Amino acid sequence: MKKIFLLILLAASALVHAQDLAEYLPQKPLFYSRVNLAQVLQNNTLNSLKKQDFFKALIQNTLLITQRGNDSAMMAIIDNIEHFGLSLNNDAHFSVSEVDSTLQFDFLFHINNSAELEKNMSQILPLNDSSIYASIGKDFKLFIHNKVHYAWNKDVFVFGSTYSLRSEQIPLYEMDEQQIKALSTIENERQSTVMHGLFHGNSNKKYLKGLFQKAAITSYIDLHNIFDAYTTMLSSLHLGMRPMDLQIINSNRLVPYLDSKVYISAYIAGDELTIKTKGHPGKELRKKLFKVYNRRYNSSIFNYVPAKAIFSSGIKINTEAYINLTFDIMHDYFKNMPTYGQYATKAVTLLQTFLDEKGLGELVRGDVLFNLNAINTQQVTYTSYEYDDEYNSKEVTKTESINVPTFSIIGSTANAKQLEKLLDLGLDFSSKYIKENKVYTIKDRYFQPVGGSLFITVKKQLFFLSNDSNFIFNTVPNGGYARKERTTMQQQCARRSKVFFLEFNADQLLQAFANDTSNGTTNDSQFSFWQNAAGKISAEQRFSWFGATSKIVYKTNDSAAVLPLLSSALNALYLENNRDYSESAATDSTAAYPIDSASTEGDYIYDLPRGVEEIDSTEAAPTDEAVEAVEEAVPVKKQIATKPKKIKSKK
Amino acid sequence: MRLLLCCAALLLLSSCFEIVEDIRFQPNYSGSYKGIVNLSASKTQIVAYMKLDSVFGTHVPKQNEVEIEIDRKESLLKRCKGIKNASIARDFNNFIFTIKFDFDNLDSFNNAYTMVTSDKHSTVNVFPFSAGNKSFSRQDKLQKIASDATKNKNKYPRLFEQSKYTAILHFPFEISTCTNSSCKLSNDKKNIFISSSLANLVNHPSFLNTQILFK
Repeated sequence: MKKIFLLILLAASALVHAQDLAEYLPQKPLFYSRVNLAQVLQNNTLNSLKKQDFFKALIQNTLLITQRGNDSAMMAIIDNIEHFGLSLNNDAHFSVSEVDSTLQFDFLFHINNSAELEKNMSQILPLNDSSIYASIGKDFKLFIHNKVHYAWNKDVFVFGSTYSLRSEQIPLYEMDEQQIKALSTIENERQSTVMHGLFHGNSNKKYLKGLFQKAAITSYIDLHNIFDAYTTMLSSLHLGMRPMDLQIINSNRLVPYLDSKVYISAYIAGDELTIKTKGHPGKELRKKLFKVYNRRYNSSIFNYVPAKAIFSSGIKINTEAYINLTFDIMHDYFKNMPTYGQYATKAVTLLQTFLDEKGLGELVRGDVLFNLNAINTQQVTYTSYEYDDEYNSKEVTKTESINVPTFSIIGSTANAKQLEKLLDLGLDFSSKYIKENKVYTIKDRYFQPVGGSLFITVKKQLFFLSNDSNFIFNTVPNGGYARKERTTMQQQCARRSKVFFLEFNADQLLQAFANDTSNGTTNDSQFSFWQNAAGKISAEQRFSWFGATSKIVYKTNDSAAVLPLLSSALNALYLENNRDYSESAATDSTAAYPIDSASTEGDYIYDLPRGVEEIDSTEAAPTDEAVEAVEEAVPVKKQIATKPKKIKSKK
Repeated sequence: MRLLLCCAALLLLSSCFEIVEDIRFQPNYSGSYKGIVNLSASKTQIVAYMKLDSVFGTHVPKQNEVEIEIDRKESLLKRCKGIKNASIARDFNNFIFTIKFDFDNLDSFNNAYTMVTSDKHSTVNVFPFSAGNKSFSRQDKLQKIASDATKNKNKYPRLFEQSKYTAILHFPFEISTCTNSSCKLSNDKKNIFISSSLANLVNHPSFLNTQILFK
């Protein structure tokens, strides 16, 4: 009894936390996210964020969306964002909801200083124009401008935007001024209605209960309704869609497979970032997925994973159930499809009749491991050029080291003999494919990046594919590696069968590339970033009758904090995407050189470009005065190309 | 030069490649041209990429597509007025492509050079080379490359930074002045050498522009 009471108390306290600003949150959002600002902005993170270009762009394009340019007042707001008037010690919320075929995006914050907020808002918005205000419930001030809305009272601040999923019947570019003006009014009225709806919501929101409560960032996604909104949007866009296409989209045949609600959370603790998800697929999907995932690994697979593999990942599925699920999806997708649906459905049925999914399921059971064992180096030669004192070139052969990853793929089979028969089939077709001592070898220049050869072998109930000859010819015949070398995750997988797992030792990979001299990695200024960022990543996913859960853990190297690394990475990505590659270049508007490949009359020749004098080799050597005149001359003028002039060939 | 790159769109995928242009002028500005596109440093990767249809959204041409394009250029080159002994050698083991031709005068050279380095998508006539009395000028129209690279910067990634362009101009006259400080002069002062990464050329379209005065 006592335990039950404690559980109820815990749930209630979680609910209380969840109800932070809950009355302002949408009833059924498509997407919702809550950020624990105190956690995320700890340890001076905000100050380092303010120096990042992507952060400034983010603030400008979201909060300051009604303003444009690098106005000094706007820059000052960004530099002093912590004094904007919003509380950075409470949670912030972001939601996307659909109201009356309009998507509404909202950011919600607690206010900690109303006066400061009002002062800053007066710099962003023309607050002295009282006609643009609407006073709505709970003492809110509301300002709407170009689909962006700001609303605040003494406790909470909201800003966001709307997007209509239904385009108007007349395309925007065909509207006249009055129609566009009317459209703007309709949008503003709609927004106002939406805002009223938002602030009258009650607090009984089920999705809040499923959130991860102690996470730095926790989110909820409603896949079903997102797909609905997407199809609404697509069917309304005038993009030249044929009626048949609209019918395909509107039929929502695959909706049962998207009937899932997903929760995602991120936990940040110094040098470790953990992301957890839990998904609740719809009943129909859950039944099908349970058959696919309900099997165990062949535990002897783990004997062949080296302890210090750079990357190791495994998945287990029931191949037969997976093939059947694929056919079910195809049937559901094609049935009721206009025009071609009946033919497609018949084709799928035919394929299903002749395909032996049970036989395939025996051949490849469905538990597979992929390992990146190591990065080896290989010497390759290439041609380059050297020059003597007079710059006469000479070909030289140089050598460089390239990285060759060694990998192995291990899977289990219930019918080793049949698998070997299949592998034997290709032996007569090419000299590049040979069999020696039960090992099949494929040698081709296309495999040069991975060492030049691939090896395949079958042993007992396992098959192996690798480019590492040592692994195939030594390790496999000897039964693999010692059991004690298994990592914790591999041991767990061997015993308890996680659906999917992954282990990535990024620091080992980085070390391998640090030794690579061919691309100058060690001289790269970003290398120190990667040294800190490279650490370990592990991931796992489980599936049960109740749903799917997954966990990804990223631990940095040398205890470097995660948040600064993430913000540096985001900033680098932002700068890369906004990189300016060129000087201001004047484009030349002259005509293209028109090669008429069909022409057989004479040849083309251009007029002499301006500024180019004809060279006459019979001319006498120039006098000193003439040379001085050239040296003082204006440089050659820019050439202006002319159209090609056909000349008749002289007979 | 610009579309020696496009002879092999594979260049987009190479980790390192080199373009060398060697131009020899006679006193009457006839001469010979040799252009080399050398992807041998990346041959290991190219061989693998050629098995794919595309990599990171960029179409990977097959060997026969490259052969067809090279044949087309060679055929056009041979039809240019004032051009002799034109050939484009191709080595698909080491991925080295060599363009050679002799020209009768500067106009023919400009003609052929433009032909080789332009394609159906280019709208700019190059005609970079011109000569006067005891003067020579190269004004390369690389602005188009720069603006193309800006528009399609995902197709022209950092790979260009690891690649090299070299041009060597041999003259029969001694050079007295050269306006481009990046150029190196040989000991006998008759040869000019300039080298740069391709990324630098994209970022600085006027890098190759040079005016030379002879003694």
